This record gives sequence, structure tokens and C-alpha cells, in this order.
Amino acid sequence: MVTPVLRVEGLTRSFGGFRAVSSLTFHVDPREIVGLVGPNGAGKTTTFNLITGFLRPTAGRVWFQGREVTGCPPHRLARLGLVRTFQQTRVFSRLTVEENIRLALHRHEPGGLRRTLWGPAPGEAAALERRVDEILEFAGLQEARRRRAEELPYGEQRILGVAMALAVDPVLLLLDEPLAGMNATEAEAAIQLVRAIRDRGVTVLIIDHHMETLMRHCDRLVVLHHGEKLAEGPPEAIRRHPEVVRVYLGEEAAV
Amino acid sequence: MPGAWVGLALLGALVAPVLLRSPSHQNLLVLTAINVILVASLDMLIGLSGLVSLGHAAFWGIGAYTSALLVMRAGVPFLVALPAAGLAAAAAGLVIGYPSLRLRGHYFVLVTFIFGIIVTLLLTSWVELTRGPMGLPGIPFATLPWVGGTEVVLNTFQDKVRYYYLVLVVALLTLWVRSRIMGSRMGRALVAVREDEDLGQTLGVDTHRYKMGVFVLSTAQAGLAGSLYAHYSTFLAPETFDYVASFDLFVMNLVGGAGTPLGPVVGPVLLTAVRDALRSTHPVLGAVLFGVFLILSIQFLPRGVVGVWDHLRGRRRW
Repeated sequence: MVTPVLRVEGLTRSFGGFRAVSSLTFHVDPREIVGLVGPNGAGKTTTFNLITGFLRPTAGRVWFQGREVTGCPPHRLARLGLVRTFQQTRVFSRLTVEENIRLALHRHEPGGLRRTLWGPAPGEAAALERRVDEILEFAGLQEARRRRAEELPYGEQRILGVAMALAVDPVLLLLDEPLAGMNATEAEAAIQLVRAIRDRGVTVLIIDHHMETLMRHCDRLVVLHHGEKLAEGPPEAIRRHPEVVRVYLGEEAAV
Repeated sequence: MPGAWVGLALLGALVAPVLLRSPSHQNLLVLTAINVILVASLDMLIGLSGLVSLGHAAFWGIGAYTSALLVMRAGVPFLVALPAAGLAAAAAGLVIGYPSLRLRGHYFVLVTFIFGIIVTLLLTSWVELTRGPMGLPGIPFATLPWVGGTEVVLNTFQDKVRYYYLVLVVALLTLWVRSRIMGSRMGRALVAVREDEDLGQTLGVDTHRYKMGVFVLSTAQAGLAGSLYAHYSTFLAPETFDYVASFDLFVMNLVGGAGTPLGPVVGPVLLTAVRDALRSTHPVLGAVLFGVFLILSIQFLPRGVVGVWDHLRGRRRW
């Protein structure tokens, strides 16, 4: 049996008396695309914040590649290869597209006092520029590379956010509503990018409201409701799951 | 960086004492150069990292008193007291920065402001050490070792020009370090802190470490400026380093252009003379005027005087 890339066990977070996430247990295997779904307020983003170190769990533990990382700060998790994107569009909006990617390569750039004062060795800067080119090409953002991020259309800003996460070279990518606010064409392009990322060997855990899209592209789904896991399994099983149908009745009953 | 302008500014700085021959003008040159060190170091916090410090003059004061007292009470040579002043200010920066740099936005501003007030209170009330409100007179001139085992005494009453060049060397080093950092991996990490710290962390940037690094470096440079000031004026008083002084540095930084290559030069060059003229004769008018400069600058020149110039030339930098 393979070690899961991510395993959470009994994950719980209370805000005052309110349990936003309650005894949540699930795992993500290597090279899977797993969807984390549920109605608004089900605890999806809180779960992401708990996994990525932006919130401390009240109880429960998180393992990343077999190593316990509960309560580890975000920057350290990123270095280990656990990288997230945010629900709102988060890019360095005043910087250009290529400056955004260049900054996201922080982890791959050698530092030190000598380089700060006298500049990087000749080959190093060129190698980083090649990586920028490669990521821009992969994300289809070469045309926009010299534009400021805030000048891009909304869909491209979200793609840039994913491309920056990719620049960190993640083992596991957590995408928080990458398709939110996109039209059908943009959403399709974005999900194709997610699949391409998986094909590079990256494992993906994705939150989104585009149920139909997730059903088509995820290997497994984890359904949250009121902070608890309601169901887990491949899309066809989830589609027929009686509890899921009941919760989504009147909202996404057609699913 | 606009190389031609840097060259021109450098040339201007080198020939200035030849053109301005009166002692009062040369006095302003030295004070301007000291302010360039202070504003350039402050700009690494404000312009580069988005960390607004309203207590920078306190670190300047810690450096000034450290250097003066080391030379007066312990007989330490100037060339040892100068780096010691930087270290003392950096140590204070470390102690203040470690907890407060975990705070965001306004809370950090408040801590630096309050720290500035505490330092002024300490300098005023620790009379046995600092002579408090009476001030510390009779600080020895800086001495530098010279060829053949002799020493030169930089008597700033008789000759301000040599001292000006000494300060200029430190100012140029400060500007050079700042420009190197801005183009480096550390500089990019600090831009991430300024633009969106959470996002920076998700990209693997240890933001607290970089904030600590830049804060300690910046306060160390303020400490060096303190030592240079102490052995120039030979007299120190607590109110020189009070919150008004911190505020003045903040205004110089914003008026010159925070985060721009030449902003930390332009701000002090434009405002040091104004500040010096008003501070001794009309202190209240001076404070009001600087407040007006600040408001005008924020309202009309978001990137300072340098920003206007760049705008006219159709340039924009990050």
C-alpha cells in the first residue's frame, strides 16, 4: 500500500462553541485529483486553512507524505511541497506577470550574503529565467508576461495564481475554488490546466462549486456538511449517495 | 536604475562642499548626508518592505549616545565606537523587532512609535548616564588613524569638509547596500511582505525572518548615523531623537519617494535645510509644515518627487 500524500485524522476546529470542522478524516493518494465539496459554510476553506498552517486545529492531526505536519507554519509547508491557492484572487497585483512568477521561484533561488551584494553567479539567473519561461508557457501566459497582474482579465489572474503555486514545485496542490466566477470557457481551460498539472505528477485537492465539472474530472470526492464528512468515494457513487442527494435537494438536486 | 541621474547626483555630492563655502551651508551638507543615511535605511522598511516605522530616530539616538558615552567614559577610539553604535541600535532593533514584526499593519506602527517615546523618556530621565535634559556636551571629535602611526582629529568646528566626506562614504555605502538588496532574492521576499504577506508565505517565503533581517540592518544603519552625528555636533540632547524627529524622517522618505532609487537622496536634500531652520527657531511651525508636506505628498505625489519625475518620463517601477 502506498503512503498517502495527505492524511488528516480527526481534524477539528471550533470557533467559540461553533464547530467549523468536526472529526474530519480523509486521505489523498499520489497523483489523485480529489474534490472537497459541500454547501457554503460546510467547512471546506477552514479545512484548507487547517491543513496549510493558517489555522491551528483544536484537535486532530495532519500528515504530509507520511510525516506529521500538524501546526507547521505555511512557509515551511510550502518548502516541503504542500502549496495552496486562495479563494479570492491572490496575486501580487502591482507586479508584472513575470515578476509574480519570479517571486514564486523564491524556494528555488539560491540566496546568501555574497549573492545579495555581488549578484548571482552567471548561470543561476539564466536558469531561473528559463523556469519562468517554462511556467508561463505551461500556463499559457506568455503573451501577458510584461503586463501588471491587476490588468489581466479575471480568469487569467486566477490562472496566474495557480501558475505561481506551481512555480513552488508542489507535491500536493490545494486549490480553493479555482473556477469561482469563471464563465464556462474559462472554467474548462482552468480545469484542463489542473489536469495537466496532475499529469506532471502533482497531486491535487480541489474545492469548488462547479459540481458538474468536479464530477467529470475528480478521481474521488469528499463531501462535507456542517463540518462533518457526509460521504466519500468516486463521483458515480457520490452522485447516487442518498445523504448527498438529500443535502443537495433543491440546491444541486440534478447532480 | 537611471544611471545618468545617479552619476549626476554623485558628482553633485562630491563637489558640493567646494561650491558651498560658508560654514553654515557646509553644516547643512553634513546634516543632509546624515539624513540620507537615516532615510535610506528607513526606506528599506517603508518603501521596500511596507513596514512603516515611526520610531527610526530612536535607533539613531541609541547609536549617538552609545558612541558618545563609549568615547567619553570608556576612552574607546572613534573607529571602534562607530560600529559599536551600529551594533547597539541593531540589538535594540532585534529586541523590538522580534515580537512586533509578528504584528501586522497599524500594530507594528504603534509599537515603533511607542518605542520611540520610551527611548526619549529614558534618555531624558537616566540623568547619571546621559545628563538627561541638560544634554551631553563636550563629545570628543572623531579621530582617524593616519599614515605613520599618527592620528587626524576631525575638528568639525574648524573644518566640516573632511567630516562631510566621511559621512558621505557611509551614506553611499548605505545607498549601495539598499540598491543591492532591492534587486536580490531578499528584496523580492520583502516585496512579497509589502504586497501580500500571506501569499508570500504560501510561496515558501519565511516572511518573519526577512522582516527581522531588514529591520536589524536598518536600525544598525541608523545607529551608525547616530555615531556620526554625535562626533559632529559634539553635543547631544534627548529631544533631537524624539518622535518629531522620527516623523520628520518619515516625511522626508515619503516626499522624496518611498521605494524609488533616488527618493532617499531627494527627500533629505529638499527638506533638511527647511527642517533645520525651523526646528531651532519655530519648532511648532516646523512640525505643522512637515505635516502639510506629508498630506500634500500622500494626496498628490503617491510616489514622491521622484515618482513625479518618473511619471513625466513615462516610467514606472516596482
